[in-house]
Amino acid sequence: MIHLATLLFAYAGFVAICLSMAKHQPEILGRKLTAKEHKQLRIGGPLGLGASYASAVVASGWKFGSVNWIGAVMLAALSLTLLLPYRPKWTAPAGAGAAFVGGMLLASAALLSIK
Amino acid sequence: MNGSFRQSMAWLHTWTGLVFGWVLFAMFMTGTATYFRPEITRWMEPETGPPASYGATANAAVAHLSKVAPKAKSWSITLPDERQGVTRVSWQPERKPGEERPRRRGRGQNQATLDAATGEVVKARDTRGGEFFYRFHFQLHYMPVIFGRWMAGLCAMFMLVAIVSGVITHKRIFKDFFTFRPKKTAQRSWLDAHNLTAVLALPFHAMITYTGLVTLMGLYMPWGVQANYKSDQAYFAEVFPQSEEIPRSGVAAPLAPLPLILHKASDAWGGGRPWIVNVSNPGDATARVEVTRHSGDKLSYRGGSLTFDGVTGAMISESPKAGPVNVTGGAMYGLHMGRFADPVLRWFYFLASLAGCAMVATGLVLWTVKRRQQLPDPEKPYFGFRLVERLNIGTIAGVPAGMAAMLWANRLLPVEMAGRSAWEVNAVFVGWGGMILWATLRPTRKAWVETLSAAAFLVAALPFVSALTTQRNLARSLMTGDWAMLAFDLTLFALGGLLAFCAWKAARYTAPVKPKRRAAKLAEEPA
Repeated sequence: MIHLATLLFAYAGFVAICLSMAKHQPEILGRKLTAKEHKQLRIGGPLGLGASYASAVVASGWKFGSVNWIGAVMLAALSLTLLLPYRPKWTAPAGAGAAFVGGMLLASAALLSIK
Repeated sequence: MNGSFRQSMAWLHTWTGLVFGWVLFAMFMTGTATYFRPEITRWMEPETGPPASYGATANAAVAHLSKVAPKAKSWSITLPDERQGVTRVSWQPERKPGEERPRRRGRGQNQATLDAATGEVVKARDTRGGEFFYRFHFQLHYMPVIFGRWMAGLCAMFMLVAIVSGVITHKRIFKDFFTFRPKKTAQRSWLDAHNLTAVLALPFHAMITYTGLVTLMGLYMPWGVQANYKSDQAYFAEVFPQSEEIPRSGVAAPLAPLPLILHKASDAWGGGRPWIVNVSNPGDATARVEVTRHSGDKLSYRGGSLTFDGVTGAMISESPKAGPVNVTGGAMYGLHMGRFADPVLRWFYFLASLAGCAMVATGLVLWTVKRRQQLPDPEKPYFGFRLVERLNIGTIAGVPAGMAAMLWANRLLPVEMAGRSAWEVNAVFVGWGGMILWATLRPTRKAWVETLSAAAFLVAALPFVSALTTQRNLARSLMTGDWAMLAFDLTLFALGGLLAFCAWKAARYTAPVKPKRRAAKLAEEPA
């Protein structure tokens, strides 16, 4: 479960990074970002990758977690890059959805471990 | 090789990539398969049952060995695990006085395979199983082992050169991080695909190439060891300590119950799994039982071992704690092998490794794509171009086809055939060589489409071949909950589908007939 959260957070993080790059904004959003949005995404991207790493470490410890995380990061970047040329408009909503579902997974895992 | 630093790096990348590319592709493909080595072996030994826990047949293994080799010098028992359904036992006969201690335990005739559930001897067909792909990916085949390892090491070294020079050559590594433009010109799309598979899985490629070289560093760079140890034996004795030999006392004593010893070992490791059990002087008062920890338990490949008194079952000693250098080496080995990986991570490894295959393949194709436009006469390319093109087709379609051919041979060759396992291996090269031959006899486009289709068929038809010739089939795997074999068949379908997709793409591809007009048209389109 947390493995999936690791992957989803990484995907969301990459969507934010991708969106903060000027060349990808027109194809994904059909417009340029405002300065404020740009700033938010610049923070959001590393935050997503950081959350992904944190979830991997929580799930498997820092040794195995680090290896898992690198795997998840590669897979997330690959899926975004392959989705981008074919369904550019889907990438951003998918990123938001991934962040949400990842958060829910992590929250439910935390609740289960408390009980 | 004139020009700027980046240009010379581009030159280096192009030519090392090309010259070593075909062997590297085969090494990457077989190495990728090796992540599922136990599953491949299970598939190729359809007589064996499902995986079992390590303790299930410890007693049966001892009973079998007591029957066939009661007076052996030593017994070796490889326990089943969650991926293997057999217990492999072997024994070393007592040596005649004055005979040297063999450096590696000879297997030969002194071995048996036991069913993990029943403990009965399993007569499995003669096959090398997943072991062949594993061996091939670092020592190749049809040549002396040492020579093969040097060849593979040379290829891996140049792979590392290609990775480093490739990163330097890539001008827009961050700007083009998410860029894949499948609808642009051939060269653009192939370059994007090459960059994509290379950059996004770069941590894996760099890790796997570097750690791969590290696993054989003793062979490639022996000088450190030579400078610090009197002999190779002294080095091995320190890095891989072996318990010293004790002569038999001649006093008979029964062996302590093995399950008890395994239980103690597991407790000592905080729940770790025993994997290999070595019993020296079985049936004697001096019996010793050495239990080696499962390599899948820890990141480091060297799991450590515990030694027990074979009669009382009391723990005697623990293998010495490894020093930092040894731990580092073990961790690199472990990272390369991925034995520690749970199923999810194992699939990551497999996919990243497939991306590596794709990186090598796209790089090879790119060489021809780039040069095709500059050909003076596209209808009659020069010899070097034709050679590269044919070897590309024959290898990219041929290696998967050859690997599938081995699995076909495993199912179709008569079980009693002499030299059966060797012929299974020959099938790999008959398949690969056949594809190269096919590629040379047909026009380029047809060669791509036909060889890729043939490879797709060979791979995707395997579950059906298996269902027709053995008890193993999709429905049975599903009914008995044998998820590994179910996944194996489904993966074959998926890989066959992937090859079929490539064939379909190759068939549909329309070459730009008039490059100038096409370029003009592209310029009009919104970027």
